[in-house]
Amino acid sequence: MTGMKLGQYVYGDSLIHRLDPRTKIICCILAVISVMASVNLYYLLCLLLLMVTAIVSARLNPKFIFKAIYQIKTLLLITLLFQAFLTPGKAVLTIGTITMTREGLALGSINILRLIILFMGSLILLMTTTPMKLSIGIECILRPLEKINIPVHNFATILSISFRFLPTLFEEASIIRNAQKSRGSQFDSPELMVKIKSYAAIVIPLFEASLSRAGDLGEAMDSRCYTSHPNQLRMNSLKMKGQDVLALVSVSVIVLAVIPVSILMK
Amino acid sequence: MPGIIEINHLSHIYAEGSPYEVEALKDITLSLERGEFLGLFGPNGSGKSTLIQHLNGLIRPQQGSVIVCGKDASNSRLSRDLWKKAGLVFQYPEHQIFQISVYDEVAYGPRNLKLPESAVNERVNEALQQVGLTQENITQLPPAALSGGMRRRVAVAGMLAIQPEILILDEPMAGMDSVGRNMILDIIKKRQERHETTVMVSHSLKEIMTLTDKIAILDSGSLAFSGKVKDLLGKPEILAHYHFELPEYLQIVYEIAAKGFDIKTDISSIREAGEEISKLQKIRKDADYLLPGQYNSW
Repeated sequence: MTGMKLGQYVYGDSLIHRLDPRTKIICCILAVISVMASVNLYYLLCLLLLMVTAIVSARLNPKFIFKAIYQIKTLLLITLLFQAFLTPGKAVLTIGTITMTREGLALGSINILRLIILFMGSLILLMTTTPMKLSIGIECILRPLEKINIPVHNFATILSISFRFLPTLFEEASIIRNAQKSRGSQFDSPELMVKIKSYAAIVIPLFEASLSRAGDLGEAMDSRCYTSHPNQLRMNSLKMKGQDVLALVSVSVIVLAVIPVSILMK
Repeated sequence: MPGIIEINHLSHIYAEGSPYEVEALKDITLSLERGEFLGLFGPNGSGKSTLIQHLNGLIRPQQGSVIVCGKDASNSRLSRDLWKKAGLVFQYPEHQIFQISVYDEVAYGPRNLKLPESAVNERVNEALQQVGLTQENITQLPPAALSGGMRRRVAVAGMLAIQPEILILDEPMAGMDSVGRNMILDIIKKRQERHETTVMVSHSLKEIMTLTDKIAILDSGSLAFSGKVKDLLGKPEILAHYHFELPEYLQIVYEIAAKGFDIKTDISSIREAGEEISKLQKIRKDADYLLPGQYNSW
Protein backbone atom coordinates (compact mmCIF):
# COMPACT_ATOMS: atom_id res chain seq x y z
CA MET A 1 0.00 0.00 0.00
CA THR A 2 2.68 2.44 1.00
CA GLY A 3 5.15 3.24 -1.73
CA MET A 4 6.32 5.67 -4.37
CA LYS A 5 3.77 6.22 -7.09
CA LEU A 6 4.67 7.36 -10.56
CA GLY A 7 4.98 11.14 -10.61
CA GLN A 8 4.35 11.59 -6.91
CA TYR A 9 5.55 14.87 -5.41
CA VAL A 10 8.82 14.50 -3.52
CA TYR A 11 9.48 17.08 -0.86
CA GLY A 12 12.60 19.10 -1.51
CA ASP A 13 14.09 22.56 -1.42
CA SER A 14 16.03 23.08 -4.62
CA LEU A 15 15.97 25.78 -7.27
CA ILE A 16 13.62 23.65 -9.37
CA HIS A 17 11.28 23.14 -6.41
CA ARG A 18 11.20 26.89 -5.73
CA LEU A 19 10.41 27.92 -9.31
CA ASP A 20 6.95 29.29 -9.90
CA PRO A 21 4.61 26.52 -11.09
CA ARG A 22 3.69 28.66 -14.11
CA THR A 23 7.34 28.80 -15.10
CA LYS A 24 7.65 25.04 -14.87
CA ILE A 25 4.45 24.40 -16.81
CA ILE A 26 5.44 26.85 -19.58
CA CYS A 27 8.96 25.36 -19.76
CA CYS A 28 7.41 21.93 -20.12
CA ILE A 29 5.13 23.10 -22.93
CA LEU A 30 8.11 24.74 -24.67
CA ALA A 31 10.08 21.51 -24.32
CA VAL A 32 7.19 19.56 -25.87
CA ILE A 33 7.09 21.98 -28.82
CA SER A 34 10.83 21.79 -29.42
CA VAL A 35 10.94 18.01 -29.12
CA MET A 36 8.11 17.72 -31.62
CA ALA A 37 9.66 20.22 -34.03
CA SER A 38 13.08 18.63 -34.39
CA VAL A 39 14.42 15.27 -35.52
CA ASN A 40 18.04 16.31 -35.13
CA LEU A 41 19.87 13.90 -32.86
CA TYR A 42 22.35 16.42 -31.44
CA TYR A 43 19.63 18.89 -30.65
CA LEU A 44 17.63 16.17 -28.87
CA LEU A 45 20.72 15.17 -26.92
CA CYS A 46 21.03 18.81 -25.81
CA LEU A 47 17.45 18.67 -24.54
CA LEU A 48 18.18 15.38 -22.77
CA LEU A 49 21.16 17.07 -21.11
CA LEU A 50 18.85 19.89 -20.03
CA MET A 51 16.46 17.37 -18.43
CA VAL A 52 19.31 15.57 -16.70
CA THR A 53 20.61 18.89 -15.36
CA ALA A 54 17.14 19.66 -14.03
CA ILE A 55 16.92 16.23 -12.34
CA VAL A 56 20.34 16.62 -10.76
CA SER A 57 19.67 20.14 -9.53
CA ALA A 58 16.28 19.08 -8.12
CA ARG A 59 18.11 16.26 -6.30
CA LEU A 60 15.61 13.66 -7.50
CA ASN A 61 16.58 10.04 -7.06
CA PRO A 62 17.97 8.95 -10.47
CA LYS A 63 17.16 5.33 -9.62
CA PHE A 64 13.50 6.21 -9.41
CA ILE A 65 13.60 8.05 -12.75
CA PHE A 66 15.19 5.01 -14.42
CA LYS A 67 12.56 2.76 -12.88
CA ALA A 68 9.82 5.05 -14.15
CA ILE A 69 11.25 5.02 -17.67
CA TYR A 70 11.53 1.25 -17.46
CA GLN A 71 7.80 1.13 -16.73
CA ILE A 72 6.99 2.53 -20.20
CA LYS A 73 9.31 0.05 -21.91
CA THR A 74 6.47 -1.57 -23.88
CA LEU A 75 5.46 1.75 -25.41
CA LEU A 76 9.07 2.49 -26.32
CA LEU A 77 9.60 -0.94 -27.83
CA ILE A 78 6.41 -0.75 -29.91
CA THR A 79 7.49 2.69 -31.18
CA LEU A 80 10.87 1.34 -32.22
CA LEU A 81 9.48 -1.75 -33.95
CA PHE A 82 6.79 0.12 -35.88
CA GLN A 83 9.30 2.68 -37.15
CA ALA A 84 11.88 0.02 -37.95
CA PHE A 85 9.54 -2.13 -40.02
CA LEU A 86 7.36 0.52 -41.66
CA THR A 87 10.02 2.94 -42.91
CA PRO A 88 11.27 2.22 -46.42
CA GLY A 89 15.04 2.08 -46.88
CA LYS A 90 18.03 -0.23 -46.79
CA ALA A 91 17.02 -3.65 -45.49
CA VAL A 92 18.74 -5.00 -42.40
CA LEU A 93 16.54 -7.93 -41.51
CA THR A 94 13.68 -9.62 -43.35
CA ILE A 95 11.00 -11.67 -41.60
CA GLY A 96 8.50 -13.11 -44.09
CA THR A 97 7.11 -10.21 -46.05
CA ILE A 98 8.17 -7.39 -43.75
CA THR A 99 11.64 -5.89 -43.62
CA MET A 100 13.45 -3.95 -40.94
CA THR A 101 15.34 -1.00 -42.43
CA ARG A 102 18.37 0.97 -41.31
CA GLU A 103 16.54 4.24 -41.78
CA GLY A 104 13.64 2.87 -39.75
CA LEU A 105 15.89 1.86 -36.88
CA ALA A 106 17.47 5.32 -36.81
CA LEU A 107 14.10 7.06 -36.88
CA GLY A 108 12.76 4.69 -34.22
CA SER A 109 15.69 5.41 -31.91
CA ILE A 110 15.16 9.15 -32.31
CA ASN A 111 11.49 8.76 -31.52
CA ILE A 112 12.33 6.78 -28.38
CA LEU A 113 14.66 9.59 -27.36
CA ARG A 114 11.86 12.09 -27.93
CA LEU A 115 9.42 10.10 -25.80
CA ILE A 116 11.96 9.74 -23.00
CA ILE A 117 12.64 13.50 -22.99
CA LEU A 118 8.91 14.25 -22.82
CA PHE A 119 8.40 11.68 -20.08
CA MET A 120 11.31 13.04 -18.05
CA GLY A 121 9.98 16.58 -18.43
CA SER A 122 6.57 15.68 -17.08
CA LEU A 123 8.13 13.63 -14.26
CA ILE A 124 10.26 16.62 -13.20
CA LEU A 125 7.21 18.88 -13.26
CA LEU A 126 5.08 16.49 -11.18
CA MET A 127 7.79 15.44 -8.73
CA THR A 128 8.87 18.98 -7.87
CA THR A 129 5.48 20.73 -7.75
CA THR A 130 2.82 20.14 -5.11
CA PRO A 131 -0.58 19.26 -6.60
CA MET A 132 -1.99 22.44 -5.06
CA LYS A 133 0.59 24.67 -6.74
CA LEU A 134 0.18 22.80 -9.99
CA SER A 135 -3.54 23.49 -10.12
CA ILE A 136 -3.09 27.16 -9.12
CA GLY A 137 -0.48 27.44 -11.87
CA ILE A 138 -2.80 25.93 -14.47
CA GLU A 139 -5.59 28.21 -13.30
CA CYS A 140 -3.37 31.29 -13.68
CA ILE A 141 -2.22 30.27 -17.15
CA LEU A 142 -5.78 29.62 -18.31
CA ARG A 143 -7.25 32.75 -16.70
CA PRO A 144 -7.40 34.72 -20.01
CA LEU A 145 -9.98 32.16 -21.18
CA GLU A 146 -12.45 33.59 -18.66
CA LYS A 147 -12.94 36.48 -21.09
CA ILE A 148 -14.65 34.08 -23.49
CA ASN A 149 -16.86 32.70 -20.67
CA ILE A 150 -14.96 29.49 -19.95
CA PRO A 151 -15.31 28.71 -16.21
CA VAL A 152 -11.59 28.41 -15.54
CA HIS A 153 -11.97 28.49 -11.78
CA ASN A 154 -14.38 25.56 -11.75
CA PHE A 155 -12.06 23.70 -14.03
CA ALA A 156 -9.15 24.34 -11.67
CA THR A 157 -11.19 23.18 -8.66
CA ILE A 158 -12.05 19.95 -10.44
CA LEU A 159 -8.39 19.52 -11.30
CA SER A 160 -7.13 20.10 -7.76
CA ILE A 161 -9.76 17.73 -6.33
CA SER A 162 -8.67 15.04 -8.77
CA PHE A 163 -5.04 15.57 -7.79
CA ARG A 164 -6.06 15.34 -4.15
CA PHE A 165 -7.99 12.09 -4.58
CA LEU A 166 -5.69 10.25 -6.95
CA PRO A 167 -3.50 8.78 -4.18
CA THR A 168 -6.62 7.86 -2.18
CA LEU A 169 -8.03 6.10 -5.20
CA PHE A 170 -4.78 4.19 -5.79
CA GLU A 171 -4.71 3.09 -2.18
CA GLU A 172 -8.33 2.02 -2.26
CA ALA A 173 -7.76 0.06 -5.46
CA SER A 174 -4.86 -1.77 -3.87
CA ILE A 175 -6.91 -2.64 -0.76
CA ILE A 176 -9.80 -3.94 -2.87
CA ARG A 177 -7.37 -5.88 -5.05
CA ASN A 178 -5.87 -7.54 -1.99
CA ALA A 179 -9.31 -8.28 -0.56
CA GLN A 180 -10.43 -9.96 -3.77
CA LYS A 181 -7.15 -11.86 -4.00
CA SER A 182 -7.96 -13.19 -0.53
CA ARG A 183 -11.11 -14.65 -2.04
CA GLY A 184 -9.21 -16.22 -4.89
CA SER A 185 -9.49 -13.67 -7.72
CA GLN A 186 -7.03 -14.61 -10.44
CA PHE A 187 -5.48 -11.34 -11.56
CA ASP A 188 -2.44 -13.17 -12.88
CA SER A 189 -4.35 -15.84 -14.76
CA PRO A 190 -2.91 -16.70 -18.17
CA GLU A 191 -6.44 -16.78 -19.62
CA LEU A 192 -7.43 -13.32 -20.82
CA MET A 193 -11.17 -13.71 -20.13
CA VAL A 194 -10.58 -14.87 -16.54
CA LYS A 195 -8.27 -11.93 -16.06
CA ILE A 196 -10.75 -9.40 -17.41
CA LYS A 197 -13.57 -10.87 -15.34
CA SER A 198 -11.50 -10.75 -12.18
CA TYR A 199 -10.79 -7.06 -12.73
CA ALA A 200 -14.52 -6.39 -12.53
CA ALA A 201 -14.13 -7.29 -8.85
CA ILE A 202 -11.92 -4.20 -8.45
CA VAL A 203 -13.58 -1.79 -10.83
CA ILE A 204 -17.14 -2.13 -9.51
CA PRO A 205 -16.41 -1.47 -5.79
CA LEU A 206 -13.95 1.27 -6.75
CA PHE A 207 -16.56 2.99 -8.91
CA GLU A 208 -19.15 2.73 -6.17
CA ALA A 209 -16.76 4.17 -3.59
CA SER A 210 -15.74 7.04 -5.87
CA LEU A 211 -19.32 7.99 -6.66
CA SER A 212 -20.37 7.95 -3.03
CA ARG A 213 -17.27 9.94 -2.09
CA ALA A 214 -18.03 12.49 -4.80
CA GLY A 215 -21.55 12.84 -3.42
CA ASP A 216 -20.26 13.33 0.13
CA LEU A 217 -17.67 15.83 -1.01
CA GLY A 218 -20.29 17.82 -2.93
CA GLU A 219 -22.48 18.00 0.15
CA ALA A 220 -19.54 18.98 2.35
CA MET A 221 -18.58 21.76 -0.06
CA ASP A 222 -22.19 22.92 -0.25
CA SER A 223 -22.53 23.01 3.53
CA ARG A 224 -19.46 25.23 3.67
CA CYS A 225 -20.98 27.60 1.10
CA TYR A 226 -18.71 26.80 -1.82
CA THR A 227 -19.32 29.12 -4.73
CA SER A 228 -17.41 29.12 -7.94
CA HIS A 229 -15.63 32.42 -7.49
CA PRO A 230 -11.87 32.67 -7.66
CA ASN A 231 -10.27 32.52 -4.26
CA GLN A 232 -8.98 36.06 -3.68
CA LEU A 233 -7.74 35.30 -0.17
CA ARG A 234 -5.48 32.41 -1.11
CA MET A 235 -2.25 32.17 0.86
CA ASN A 236 1.00 32.16 -1.09
CA SER A 237 -0.31 33.86 -4.21
CA LEU A 238 1.99 33.23 -7.11
CA LYS A 239 4.70 35.76 -7.86
CA MET A 240 7.31 35.50 -10.58
CA LYS A 241 10.83 36.11 -9.33
CA GLY A 242 14.20 36.69 -10.98
CA GLN A 243 14.92 32.97 -11.13
CA ASP A 244 11.68 32.40 -13.03
CA VAL A 245 12.53 35.03 -15.64
CA LEU A 246 15.98 33.50 -15.99
CA ALA A 247 14.58 29.98 -16.41
CA LEU A 248 11.98 31.11 -18.94
CA VAL A 249 14.50 33.07 -21.00
CA SER A 250 17.07 30.29 -21.09
CA VAL A 251 14.52 27.60 -22.01
CA SER A 252 13.04 29.89 -24.68
CA VAL A 253 16.50 30.41 -26.17
CA ILE A 254 17.08 26.66 -26.32
CA VAL A 255 13.68 26.12 -27.90
CA LEU A 256 14.13 28.90 -30.45
CA ALA A 257 17.47 27.36 -31.33
CA VAL A 258 15.50 24.66 -33.09
CA ILE A 259 14.90 27.00 -36.04
CA PRO A 260 18.55 27.79 -36.94
CA VAL A 261 19.52 24.19 -36.20
CA SER A 262 16.99 22.75 -38.62
CA ILE A 263 17.87 25.34 -41.28
CA LEU A 264 21.59 24.65 -40.94
CA MET A 265 21.09 20.88 -41.09
CA LYS A 266 19.23 21.19 -44.37
CA MET B 1 4.37 -30.26 17.14
CA PRO B 2 4.78 -27.06 15.09
CA GLY B 3 1.99 -24.51 15.38
CA ILE B 4 -0.49 -23.66 12.66
CA ILE B 5 1.20 -20.26 12.34
CA GLU B 6 4.96 -19.94 12.82
CA ILE B 7 6.50 -16.50 12.35
CA ASN B 8 10.25 -16.24 12.79
CA HIS B 9 12.24 -12.99 12.85
CA LEU B 10 9.94 -11.38 10.30
CA SER B 11 10.81 -7.86 9.10
CA HIS B 12 9.18 -5.82 6.36
CA ILE B 13 10.12 -2.49 4.80
CA TYR B 14 7.81 -0.65 2.42
CA ALA B 15 9.22 1.33 -0.53
CA GLU B 16 12.79 0.55 0.41
CA GLY B 17 15.27 3.13 -0.85
CA SER B 18 12.68 5.81 -1.65
CA PRO B 19 11.92 8.91 0.41
CA TYR B 20 8.73 7.13 1.51
CA GLU B 21 10.54 4.21 3.13
CA VAL B 22 8.69 2.80 6.16
CA GLU B 23 9.86 -0.02 8.39
CA ALA B 24 6.51 -1.69 9.01
CA LEU B 25 7.65 -4.82 10.87
CA LYS B 26 10.79 -5.35 12.91
CA ASP B 27 11.95 -8.82 13.90
CA ILE B 28 8.60 -10.38 14.79
CA THR B 29 8.60 -13.89 16.24
CA LEU B 30 5.21 -15.36 17.03
CA SER B 31 3.48 -18.72 16.91
CA LEU B 32 -0.06 -19.98 17.23
CA GLU B 33 -1.33 -23.47 17.95
CA ARG B 34 -4.23 -25.04 16.07
CA GLY B 35 -7.52 -24.09 17.72
CA GLU B 36 -6.15 -21.06 19.50
CA PHE B 37 -7.63 -17.59 19.29
CA LEU B 38 -5.11 -14.78 18.96
CA GLY B 39 -6.04 -11.17 19.60
CA LEU B 40 -3.74 -8.78 17.77
CA PHE B 41 -3.72 -5.31 19.24
CA GLY B 42 -1.86 -2.19 18.24
CA PRO B 43 -2.35 1.51 17.62
CA ASN B 44 -2.92 2.81 14.08
CA GLY B 45 0.10 2.30 11.85
CA SER B 46 1.67 -0.30 14.13
CA GLY B 47 1.95 -2.92 11.38
CA LYS B 48 -1.06 -5.11 12.21
CA SER B 49 -2.39 -5.13 8.66
CA THR B 50 1.07 -5.80 7.23
CA LEU B 51 1.49 -8.73 9.59
CA ILE B 52 -1.82 -10.39 8.76
CA GLN B 53 -1.28 -9.93 5.03
CA HIS B 54 1.80 -12.11 5.43
CA LEU B 55 -0.44 -14.88 6.75
CA ASN B 56 -2.49 -15.38 3.59
CA GLY B 57 0.23 -14.83 1.03
CA LEU B 58 -0.61 -11.25 -0.02
CA ILE B 59 2.83 -10.12 1.14
CA ARG B 60 5.82 -12.39 0.88
CA PRO B 61 8.39 -12.20 3.67
CA GLN B 62 11.42 -10.02 2.88
CA GLN B 63 13.38 -11.13 5.93
CA GLY B 64 12.62 -14.01 8.26
CA SER B 65 10.05 -16.72 7.62
CA VAL B 66 6.31 -17.26 7.84
CA ILE B 67 4.92 -20.77 7.87
CA VAL B 68 1.14 -21.16 7.74
CA CYS B 69 -0.49 -24.60 7.92
CA GLY B 70 2.92 -26.12 7.23
CA LYS B 71 3.36 -24.08 4.04
CA ASP B 72 6.23 -21.65 3.59
CA ALA B 73 4.79 -18.25 2.63
CA SER B 74 8.02 -17.15 0.97
CA ASN B 75 7.53 -19.79 -1.72
CA SER B 76 5.61 -17.99 -4.48
CA ARG B 77 3.90 -21.17 -5.68
CA LEU B 78 2.67 -22.08 -2.18
CA SER B 79 1.78 -18.55 -1.13
CA ARG B 80 -0.51 -18.13 -4.13
CA ASP B 81 -2.78 -20.82 -2.70
CA LEU B 82 -2.57 -19.66 0.89
CA TRP B 83 -5.89 -17.83 0.65
CA LYS B 84 -7.61 -21.21 0.79
CA LYS B 85 -6.01 -21.94 4.17
CA ALA B 86 -6.04 -18.53 5.82
CA GLY B 87 -9.16 -16.47 5.14
CA LEU B 88 -8.57 -12.76 5.64
CA VAL B 89 -11.62 -10.54 6.14
CA PHE B 90 -10.46 -6.98 5.47
CA GLN B 91 -11.54 -3.87 7.32
CA TYR B 92 -14.96 -2.67 6.13
CA PRO B 93 -15.41 -5.74 3.91
CA GLU B 94 -18.79 -4.42 2.77
CA HIS B 95 -16.91 -1.98 0.54
CA GLN B 96 -15.56 -4.87 -1.49
CA ILE B 97 -18.89 -6.35 -2.52
CA PHE B 98 -19.34 -6.41 -6.28
CA GLN B 99 -21.68 -9.20 -7.34
CA ILE B 100 -25.24 -8.73 -8.47
CA SER B 101 -26.90 -10.82 -5.76
CA VAL B 102 -26.17 -11.89 -2.20
CA TYR B 103 -25.92 -15.50 -3.37
CA ASP B 104 -23.32 -14.75 -6.05
CA GLU B 105 -21.34 -12.61 -3.64
CA VAL B 106 -21.07 -15.36 -1.03
CA ALA B 107 -20.47 -17.96 -3.74
CA TYR B 108 -17.54 -16.03 -5.25
CA GLY B 109 -14.93 -17.66 -2.98
CA PRO B 110 -16.19 -21.26 -3.24
CA ARG B 111 -16.49 -20.89 -7.03
CA ASN B 112 -12.86 -19.76 -7.13
CA LEU B 113 -12.09 -22.97 -5.25
CA LYS B 114 -13.53 -24.71 -8.36
CA LEU B 115 -16.12 -26.59 -6.30
CA PRO B 116 -19.12 -28.19 -8.02
CA GLU B 117 -22.24 -26.00 -7.94
CA SER B 118 -24.05 -28.30 -5.48
CA ALA B 119 -21.22 -27.97 -2.94
CA VAL B 120 -21.15 -24.21 -3.53
CA ASN B 121 -24.87 -24.04 -2.81
CA GLU B 122 -24.42 -26.00 0.41
CA ARG B 123 -21.59 -23.78 1.60
CA VAL B 124 -23.42 -20.55 0.76
CA ASN B 125 -26.48 -21.60 2.75
CA GLU B 126 -24.35 -22.71 5.68
CA ALA B 127 -22.35 -19.46 5.69
CA LEU B 128 -25.47 -17.29 5.49
CA GLN B 129 -26.93 -19.26 8.39
CA GLN B 130 -23.77 -18.64 10.42
CA VAL B 131 -24.04 -14.89 10.02
CA GLY B 132 -27.75 -14.94 10.77
CA LEU B 133 -29.03 -14.08 7.30
CA THR B 134 -31.81 -16.62 7.25
CA GLN B 135 -34.65 -14.55 5.80
CA GLU B 136 -36.36 -16.05 2.82
CA ASN B 137 -35.32 -14.80 -0.65
CA ILE B 138 -32.39 -12.85 0.78
CA THR B 139 -30.04 -14.73 -1.52
CA GLN B 140 -31.61 -13.16 -4.59
CA LEU B 141 -31.53 -9.56 -3.30
CA PRO B 142 -28.90 -7.19 -4.66
CA PRO B 143 -26.41 -6.37 -1.87
CA ALA B 144 -26.96 -2.65 -2.51
CA ALA B 145 -30.50 -3.05 -1.18
CA LEU B 146 -29.23 -4.10 2.26
CA SER B 147 -28.17 -1.92 5.16
CA GLY B 148 -24.50 -1.41 6.04
CA GLY B 149 -24.59 -3.98 8.86
CA MET B 150 -26.29 -6.57 6.66
CA ARG B 151 -23.74 -6.00 3.91
CA ARG B 152 -20.94 -6.60 6.45
CA ARG B 153 -22.58 -9.93 7.28
CA VAL B 154 -22.77 -10.85 3.61
CA ALA B 155 -19.07 -10.04 3.23
CA VAL B 156 -18.13 -12.11 6.30
CA ALA B 157 -20.27 -14.97 4.99
CA GLY B 158 -18.33 -14.72 1.72
CA MET B 159 -15.18 -15.60 3.62
CA LEU B 160 -16.79 -18.25 5.84
CA ALA B 161 -18.02 -20.04 2.71
CA ILE B 162 -14.41 -20.69 1.72
CA GLN B 163 -14.11 -22.60 5.03
CA PRO B 164 -10.51 -21.61 5.74
CA GLU B 165 -8.54 -23.35 8.46
CA ILE B 166 -7.60 -19.98 9.93
CA LEU B 167 -10.02 -17.06 9.98
CA ILE B 168 -8.39 -13.64 10.23
CA LEU B 169 -10.67 -10.72 11.04
CA ASP B 170 -9.33 -7.18 10.65
CA GLU B 171 -11.32 -4.84 12.90
CA PRO B 172 -14.56 -6.76 12.38
CA MET B 173 -16.50 -4.68 14.89
CA ALA B 174 -15.60 -1.24 13.50
CA GLY B 175 -18.77 0.78 13.04
CA MET B 176 -21.10 -2.10 13.88
CA ASP B 177 -24.25 -1.88 16.00
CA SER B 178 -24.75 -4.23 18.95
CA VAL B 179 -26.64 -6.81 16.87
CA GLY B 180 -23.78 -6.94 14.39
CA ARG B 181 -21.22 -7.19 17.19
CA ASN B 182 -23.08 -10.11 18.70
CA MET B 183 -23.09 -11.82 15.33
CA ILE B 184 -19.29 -11.50 15.11
CA LEU B 185 -18.92 -12.68 18.72
CA ASP B 186 -21.14 -15.63 17.92
CA ILE B 187 -19.00 -16.66 14.97
CA ILE B 188 -15.86 -16.39 17.09
CA LYS B 189 -17.38 -18.42 19.93
CA LYS B 190 -18.56 -21.15 17.60
CA ARG B 191 -15.11 -21.37 16.07
CA GLN B 192 -13.60 -21.67 19.53
CA GLU B 193 -16.05 -24.48 20.38
CA ARG B 194 -15.16 -26.30 17.18
CA HIS B 195 -11.48 -25.86 18.02
CA GLU B 196 -10.81 -23.75 14.92
CA THR B 197 -8.06 -21.15 14.71
CA THR B 198 -9.01 -17.48 14.66
CA VAL B 199 -6.98 -14.27 14.60
CA MET B 200 -8.70 -11.00 15.38
CA VAL B 201 -7.17 -7.56 14.91
CA SER B 202 -8.48 -4.68 16.94
CA HIS B 203 -7.34 -1.35 18.27
CA SER B 204 -9.43 -1.82 21.39
CA LEU B 205 -7.50 -3.72 24.02
CA LYS B 206 -10.61 -4.14 26.14
CA GLU B 207 -12.54 -5.76 23.30
CA ILE B 208 -9.74 -8.26 22.72
CA MET B 209 -9.16 -9.04 26.40
CA THR B 210 -12.76 -10.00 26.99
CA LEU B 211 -12.66 -12.41 24.05
CA THR B 212 -9.36 -14.20 24.05
CA ASP B 213 -6.71 -15.64 26.26
CA LYS B 214 -3.80 -15.01 23.91
CA ILE B 215 -2.72 -11.51 23.01
CA ALA B 216 0.01 -9.99 20.88
CA ILE B 217 0.66 -6.26 21.00
CA LEU B 218 2.37 -4.53 18.09
CA ASP B 219 3.84 -1.08 18.48
CA SER B 220 5.55 0.76 15.62
CA GLY B 221 6.38 -2.54 13.99
CA SER B 222 7.82 -4.31 17.03
CA LEU B 223 6.22 -6.93 19.20
CA ALA B 224 5.66 -5.16 22.52
CA PHE B 225 3.99 -8.11 24.22
CA SER B 226 2.97 -11.65 23.39
CA GLY B 227 1.37 -14.06 25.81
CA LYS B 228 -1.59 -14.74 28.04
CA VAL B 229 -4.06 -12.12 29.23
CA LYS B 230 -3.16 -12.99 32.82
CA ASP B 231 0.48 -12.12 32.19
CA LEU B 232 -0.50 -8.86 30.53
CA LEU B 233 -2.56 -7.83 33.56
CA GLY B 234 0.58 -8.19 35.65
CA LYS B 235 2.32 -5.58 33.51
CA PRO B 236 0.78 -2.26 34.53
CA GLU B 237 3.46 -0.30 32.62
CA ILE B 238 2.26 -1.76 29.29
CA LEU B 239 -1.38 -1.24 30.18
CA ALA B 240 -0.76 2.34 31.24
CA HIS B 241 1.09 3.02 27.99
CA TYR B 242 -2.08 2.26 26.02
CA HIS B 243 -4.30 4.16 28.47
CA PHE B 244 -5.99 0.91 29.19
CA GLU B 245 -8.59 0.78 31.91
CA LEU B 246 -9.02 -2.60 33.55
CA PRO B 247 -12.45 -4.23 33.29
CA GLU B 248 -14.68 -3.27 36.21
CA TYR B 249 -14.41 -6.69 37.90
CA LEU B 250 -10.63 -6.48 37.90
CA GLN B 251 -10.68 -2.95 39.26
CA ILE B 252 -12.79 -4.25 42.16
CA VAL B 253 -10.50 -7.22 42.77
CA TYR B 254 -7.38 -5.04 42.74
CA GLU B 255 -9.01 -2.54 45.08
CA ILE B 256 -9.93 -5.30 47.52
CA ALA B 257 -6.36 -6.57 47.39
CA ALA B 258 -5.06 -3.05 47.94
CA LYS B 259 -7.15 -2.82 51.14
CA GLY B 260 -5.12 -5.70 52.48
CA PHE B 261 -7.50 -8.62 51.90
CA ASP B 262 -6.04 -11.91 50.77
CA ILE B 263 -7.51 -12.33 47.27
CA LYS B 264 -6.13 -13.87 44.09
CA THR B 265 -5.59 -11.15 41.46
CA ASP B 266 -4.54 -13.14 38.39
CA ILE B 267 -8.02 -13.85 37.10
CA SER B 268 -9.34 -13.43 33.62
CA SER B 269 -13.12 -13.57 33.77
CA ILE B 270 -15.97 -11.96 35.61
CA ARG B 271 -17.07 -15.41 36.81
CA GLU B 272 -13.71 -16.10 38.39
CA ALA B 273 -13.83 -12.71 40.08
CA GLY B 274 -17.24 -13.56 41.49
CA GLU B 275 -15.98 -16.88 42.83
CA GLU B 276 -12.99 -15.25 44.48
CA ILE B 277 -15.15 -12.60 46.09
CA SER B 278 -17.64 -15.17 47.43
CA LYS B 279 -14.75 -17.16 48.86
CA LEU B 280 -13.63 -14.02 50.60
CA GLN B 281 -17.15 -13.44 51.84
CA LYS B 282 -17.27 -16.89 53.39
CA ILE B 283 -13.97 -16.31 55.16
CA ARG B 284 -14.80 -12.89 56.37
CA LYS B 285 -18.36 -12.40 57.42
CA ASP B 286 -17.61 -8.79 58.21
CA ALA B 287 -16.61 -8.13 54.62
CA ASP B 288 -20.20 -7.12 53.96
CA TYR B 289 -19.50 -3.44 54.34
CA LEU B 290 -16.98 -3.62 51.54
CA LEU B 291 -18.96 -5.83 49.20
CA PRO B 292 -22.60 -4.81 49.19
CA GLY B 293 -25.36 -7.29 48.41
CA GLN B 294 -24.99 -7.19 44.63
CA TYR B 295 -22.16 -9.73 44.69
CA ASN B 296 -24.20 -12.32 46.58
CA SER B 297 -25.79 -13.42 43.36
CA TRP B 298 -22.55 -14.98 42.10
